[in-house]
Amino acid sequence: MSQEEKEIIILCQKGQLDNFVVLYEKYFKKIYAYVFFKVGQQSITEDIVSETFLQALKSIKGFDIKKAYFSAWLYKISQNKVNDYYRKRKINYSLDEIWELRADNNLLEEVQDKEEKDLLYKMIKDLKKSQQEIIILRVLQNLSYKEISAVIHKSEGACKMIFKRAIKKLKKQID
Amino acid sequence: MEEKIKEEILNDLYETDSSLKKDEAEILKIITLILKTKNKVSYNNDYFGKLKKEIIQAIDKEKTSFERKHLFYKHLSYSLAVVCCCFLIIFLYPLFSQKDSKVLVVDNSQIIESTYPEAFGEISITKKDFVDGRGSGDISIMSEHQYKYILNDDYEINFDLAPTEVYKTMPSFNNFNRNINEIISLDSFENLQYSHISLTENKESPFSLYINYLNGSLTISKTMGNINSDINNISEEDILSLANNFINKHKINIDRYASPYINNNLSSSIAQVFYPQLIDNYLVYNDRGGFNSLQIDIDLNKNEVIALYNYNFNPYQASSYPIVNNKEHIQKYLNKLNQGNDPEQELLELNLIKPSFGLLKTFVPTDSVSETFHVPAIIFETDNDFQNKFVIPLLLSYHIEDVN
Repeated sequence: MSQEEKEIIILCQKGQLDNFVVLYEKYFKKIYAYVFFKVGQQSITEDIVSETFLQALKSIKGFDIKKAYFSAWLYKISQNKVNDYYRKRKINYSLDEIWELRADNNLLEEVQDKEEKDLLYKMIKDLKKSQQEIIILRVLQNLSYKEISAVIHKSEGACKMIFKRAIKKLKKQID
Repeated sequence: MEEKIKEEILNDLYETDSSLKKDEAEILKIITLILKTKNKVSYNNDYFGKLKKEIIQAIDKEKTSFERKHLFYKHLSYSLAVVCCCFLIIFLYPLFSQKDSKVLVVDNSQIIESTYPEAFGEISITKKDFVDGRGSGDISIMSEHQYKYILNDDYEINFDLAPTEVYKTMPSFNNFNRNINEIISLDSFENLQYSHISLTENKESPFSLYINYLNGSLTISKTMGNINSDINNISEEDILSLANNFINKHKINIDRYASPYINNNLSSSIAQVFYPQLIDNYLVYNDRGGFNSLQIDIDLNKNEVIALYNYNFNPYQASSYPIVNNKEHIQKYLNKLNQGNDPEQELLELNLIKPSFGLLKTFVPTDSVSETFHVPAIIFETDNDFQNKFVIPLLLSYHIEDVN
């Protein structure tokens, strides 16, 4: 977390909440993408992203700047919101199913090559939930292992190991 | 940018497992494919602006709420400050005011709670248990001579006037708790035992107060500097005034004490003023006929009070006991005493005159601590300078035990 970001957070915590807009602008795209990968639908993604930022605004005074990354904290909020979404609809969250069901929507439609589409689906389908999560956070969100560790509550070493196994599995599927 | 991400991911992987290097081409293919989906995720700009507006509105709402809360707490803190000031003025001012000092948290009223007859069980008194406030002693040992006690027939004894109750000194914990409980609930603490308080004035040559709640006594003494033995000429009247002024200044309640008398030893630089103790309006005596007294010491060089000793504020429990109610018993008691004299030694006749009744302070040892009782007694004046008073306990059991 940069010094500038820390200062912005401290100002927010002191009641100067106008500064929160800076954080929103910085993280909107990342959080949107993260949620979209998890739910696959634009309208649902928008609802969850809105809830995530409004919740963060409300709770920023309780954020411990010494202990956590703001990015990880924000991902965690959105992750909880996604879980809430599936819990409320009594649907078991499964990334491969989401991608399969939403195959006609814009998540995969831009992957023009049919072979590539099939390959991507095949890759995601057999991964464990924790492996899918780390693929999203590490490759798509470009989070560091420290940040990933804070979001999924596993050690950095464990996160690295999960990612390595996920890659090995994907390689096998390609073979 | 994308290339940099790929490179970082690869480096992390090789750090974990260097054997993956040989599969770099396949791994890069996988990462590239996943990253392709990333580039295709687009969001609606209107939505981005709409959410931003929503956040700004929420911030404004939050700020208004914060300002309202801040204003409320500001007003609340002012109000509380005013209330606290009023509280401090109303409740604490009297404690520190010279005029209405209540620093001495003592109960000045004499509390005597009556209980059933002979409630204290057998009270066996021997002469050695007599108390003079500074230790006990046997009359025969204390005296240099042997006495023959003679009861003067010129005086009638009206036993209707005699006290009939034994007064037992009770611990004053409850008395203390009653006062302090107006400030804090001592009952909420476990097995709390209060024994004494020490207080000292914050000034040069201060008075120190020692309040003992176990025996219900108060001592006040001044820390002395250099003692000057020069003595001012001061009348007894002025000495009494100094003592009484000290008592009045500190609002020391002396309802439990009789009129004072002075022991002014001309060779001493300190005069002593005694206020004899009263229980139920009976004077309290020690075994040698001296009064159990509140004592005030006065420095005759500076003409000021330097100490107060033996102020008593404990409550009592009273229980009626059979007592001697005729002159014959007294005579029998005296005969018994006289019989114990050594016939070889010279006897001095001690005429017992002017009988009066009072209470004899005595200690009765128990398994743990000795208990203090004040038993009915008859007190005679004598014509002897060495022992000018003679005290006889009136408890019937004592006489039966002693005479038979």
